[in-house]
Amino acid sequence: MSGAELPPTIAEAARLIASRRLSPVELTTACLARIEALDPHINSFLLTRAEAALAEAAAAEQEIARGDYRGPLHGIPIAHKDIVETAGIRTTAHSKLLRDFVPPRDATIVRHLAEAGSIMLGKTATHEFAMGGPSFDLPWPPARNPWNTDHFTGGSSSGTGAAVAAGFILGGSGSDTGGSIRLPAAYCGVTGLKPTYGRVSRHGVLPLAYSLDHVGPLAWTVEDCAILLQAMAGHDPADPASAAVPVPDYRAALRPDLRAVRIGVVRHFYESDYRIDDEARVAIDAALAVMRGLGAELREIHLSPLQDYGACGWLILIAESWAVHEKVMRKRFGDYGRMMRNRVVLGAFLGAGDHVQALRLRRELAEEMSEAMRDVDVLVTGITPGEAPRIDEKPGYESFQRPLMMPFNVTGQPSMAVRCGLSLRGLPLALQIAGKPFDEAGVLRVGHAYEQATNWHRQRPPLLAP
Amino acid sequence: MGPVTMTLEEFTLRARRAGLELDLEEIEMLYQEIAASCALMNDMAERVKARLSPASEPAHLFRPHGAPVDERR
Repeated sequence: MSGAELPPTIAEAARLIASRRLSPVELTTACLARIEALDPHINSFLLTRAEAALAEAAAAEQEIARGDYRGPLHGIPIAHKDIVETAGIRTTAHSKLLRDFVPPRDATIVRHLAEAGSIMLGKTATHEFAMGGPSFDLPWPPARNPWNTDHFTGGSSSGTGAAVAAGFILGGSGSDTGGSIRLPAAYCGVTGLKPTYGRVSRHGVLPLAYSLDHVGPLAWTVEDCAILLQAMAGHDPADPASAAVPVPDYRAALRPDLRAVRIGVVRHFYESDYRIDDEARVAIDAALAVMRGLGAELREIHLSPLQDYGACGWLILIAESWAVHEKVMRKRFGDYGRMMRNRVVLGAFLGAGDHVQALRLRRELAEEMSEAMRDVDVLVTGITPGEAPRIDEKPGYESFQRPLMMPFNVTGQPSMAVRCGLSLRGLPLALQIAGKPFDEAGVLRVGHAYEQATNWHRQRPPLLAP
Repeated sequence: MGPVTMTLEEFTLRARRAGLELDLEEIEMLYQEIAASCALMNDMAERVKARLSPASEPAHLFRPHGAPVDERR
């Protein structure tokens, strides 16, 4: 295949590679060619490692030829968000402060994905320290949306979302503290899964907020996210928040129907608490009709107002991010980008009591959510106000005002962005599927069945199509 | 009533207390940029306090791994 062709999904590529109809070298070469030709318009990568990636692809090819096939990620090109430490490879958090930082060790997820045989093409753009963007005052430009490069990717896993949408990689890592996997997935029209808190190790991933940070995959399809999560998930003693909960077979959970699945629709989140655009709402309604047609039983669920979850989550996030950065920020305030520093420094003006009260409310909200989900398997709700805004739109308090994703960081339960339409301007629209703690399989099942019953995943960004 | 904005004097005091190594001009510039956000955070803090149920005492139980479950509510 050539760089002019869009790559297959991970699942498709794995079948071709396993049966030796596609070579990892051919696939990696094609992805690198696309990056070289098209990434100057997208800025999804901060660093590529073409030579090393091709050597790894050649080694993978030889292993597979010997019969040492490691599984569906063997020979698959991926990339890591540039807050994920990679041994001997610069890890900058897209910040002047770390522009020359070269970690001595791999993050646990880097090691897991390498052991699964994936080929790391490089490090992807992020909002500075995963907090707030797009920023134009950093050493590197922000990533742009492959569907329309005048538009925002969403963040903070902006580069990974854009790189998957553009066909530069078949999957990658992201992190999510208040929506940072799901938002770029939604705006870039790919799939992004924030797993349960503690499901995926954060060892070696630069923190933003200790009790809200989650690490997870972005990929073109739900099945691809399942494949990535299979390699990423698992207990890690090096991460004190890592959960010692067995990892199921995520792909085995995927079925074409939704018979006996009970879906709770949290309509008030996106219709009254925070009213999303009409076209986004209509797209979600259409998606719910598809899910009902696949056999799911739908019922409406009522929770506390979205703003309660938002206030709780943001107070915790601001307090904890200040704790992460205060030592450096006191002395080098001006070396941070304006957007990042103006958000994190808010923690300096919060009272300790405010943080404690937010933690108390968090417990109440998590109990409320658990009780509300007693008779359903997953929740479906809105995820963004609508299509991705222009990249030069002044965000203002935008991050505080996109609260649709924060509830599932507050409760720590898994949540996934899945595309469910295109706006009139041809930009992706999405919905959110949330599950019970450690039931990523249930979330993936619903997302996969819906995705396969529709054609959204067959449409690629027109600007970059061959 | 909208979010209440703190005064520049109060902001300066808090910035100094937080250890931010900024001169007065820089603090005032920062105040112009984030005072409204501070007010929004304050609004959120008030919302959280108003939302907490009285029955949530005792506050914020910490449960070490392996400890028996505390049945107090």
